[in-house]
Amino acid sequence: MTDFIFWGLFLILGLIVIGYIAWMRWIERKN
Amino acid sequence: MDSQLIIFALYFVVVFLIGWYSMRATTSESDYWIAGGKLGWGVGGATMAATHTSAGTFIGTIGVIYAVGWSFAWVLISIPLAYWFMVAVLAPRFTKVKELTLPAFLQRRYDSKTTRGIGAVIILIATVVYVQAQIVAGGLVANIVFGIPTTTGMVVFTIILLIYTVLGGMLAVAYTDFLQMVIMVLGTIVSVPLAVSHFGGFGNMIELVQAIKPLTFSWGGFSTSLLITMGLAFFLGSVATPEKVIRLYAMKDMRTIRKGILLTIILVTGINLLVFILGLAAMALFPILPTGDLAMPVIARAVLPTFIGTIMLAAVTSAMMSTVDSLLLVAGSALSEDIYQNLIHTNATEKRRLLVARIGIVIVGIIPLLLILGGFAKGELIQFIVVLFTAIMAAGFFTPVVGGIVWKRANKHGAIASMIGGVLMTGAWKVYGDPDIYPVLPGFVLSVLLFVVVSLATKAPEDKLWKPYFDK
Repeated sequence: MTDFIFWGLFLILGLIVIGYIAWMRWIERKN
Repeated sequence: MDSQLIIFALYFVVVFLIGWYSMRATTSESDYWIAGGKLGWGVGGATMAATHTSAGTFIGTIGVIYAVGWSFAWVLISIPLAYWFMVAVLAPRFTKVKELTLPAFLQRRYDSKTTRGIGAVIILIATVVYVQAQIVAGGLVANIVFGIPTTTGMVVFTIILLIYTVLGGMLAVAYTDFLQMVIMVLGTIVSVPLAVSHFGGFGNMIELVQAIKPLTFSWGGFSTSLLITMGLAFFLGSVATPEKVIRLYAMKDMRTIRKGILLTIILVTGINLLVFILGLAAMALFPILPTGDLAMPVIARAVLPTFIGTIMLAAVTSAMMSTVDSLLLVAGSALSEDIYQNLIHTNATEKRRLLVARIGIVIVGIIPLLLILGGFAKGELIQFIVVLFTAIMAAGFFTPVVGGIVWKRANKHGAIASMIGGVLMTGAWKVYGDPDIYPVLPGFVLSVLLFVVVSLATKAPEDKLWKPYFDK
């Protein structure tokens, strides 16, 4: 549990940042 | 002491120079309030992040981590999601027609001076009161670093802020924010490894924290309903508050905004995580502090070498200044642009408008100081507004701003009802409601309800009002 509550937050934040970059590149290609 | 003084003196000289150069580059109201809408992604993203990161992050948030443990850190997830929402949903339509202030957007979208006036009054009251709390904190830092009396520190702090903000407007604020962001990043990046090395490694620090406070890495430290509703407050407060959305107008175009906000997300998330880790270090080193708010000062003094400790204190000062200058700009624009120029003296020349803009900022900067010196700072109402600042701004502005660009049927009656209802409900919940639910939730729910019901119950707006935002 300790591992998840600590590292899980880093993992989710990392995924959000990667998701944002992917979305940004997708929008720019679309335009 | 001497090296501390030199670092701070250098810092202030650079800040003044930025103010001076920005003044020379400012020739119109648009330059003054939104940097001419020409900011690039680097400065634009950094000023957004610096405005977001206040002394609260370095003193208050670390204090909460210290007191309740890591579960509170999960609130952070709402912030990058909020900025993503801002760029994906709000910005593309919101920036189609550039304005100088957020209340000006409300007036154009809802064809209502009343909406603009109410928006300006909410901004003025909440911001001026909130700024005085930051000035008190500035005085305390000056007292710790230079040993000068707190009152002198507060006066000096206000004067420095006012000089560069009054001279250079948004340009000065954006560029000083950039510099202040660099200091914040430097301070946290250097401090965390030093604090962790104190324990002989990261794993050792975590083990020690667990031994001292076993609940630190569990969900039991913080009420789940409070965690979720605070996350909502952070979300709403990051998306549509005036000091944030005005930066969307200040950046060049959507491409710049998307890149700039990526930088904002990385900076805000990174700084918060590093500060949280400092909170853990404080827990392991000083488990019985009387209040979590002392976590950062004791780390800066007891663990970090003097030079790094000074940079850390400069980072705290930077966080404070970069938020206050942005708030002063927003409050100044509400007073001189939204109230004076829009409602009282509508036909002023460009030169006079710039003069009035600067006078507006001086007034909103001096009032908080007078409130403090007059002994009103500790008043119950004032403390109430300080604590609820983000909630008030979020409950007051999110619905009419976002609703106005996603729903064609929204009209001025709905907007007015949602702003007033949202703010009043937020305040009422704080006094009478369940303390496990952060007041922004009921405030937000009521503002959405009123927005929809009152808009539908009254006449639909003319097509020309919503069209500019919805056209491809």
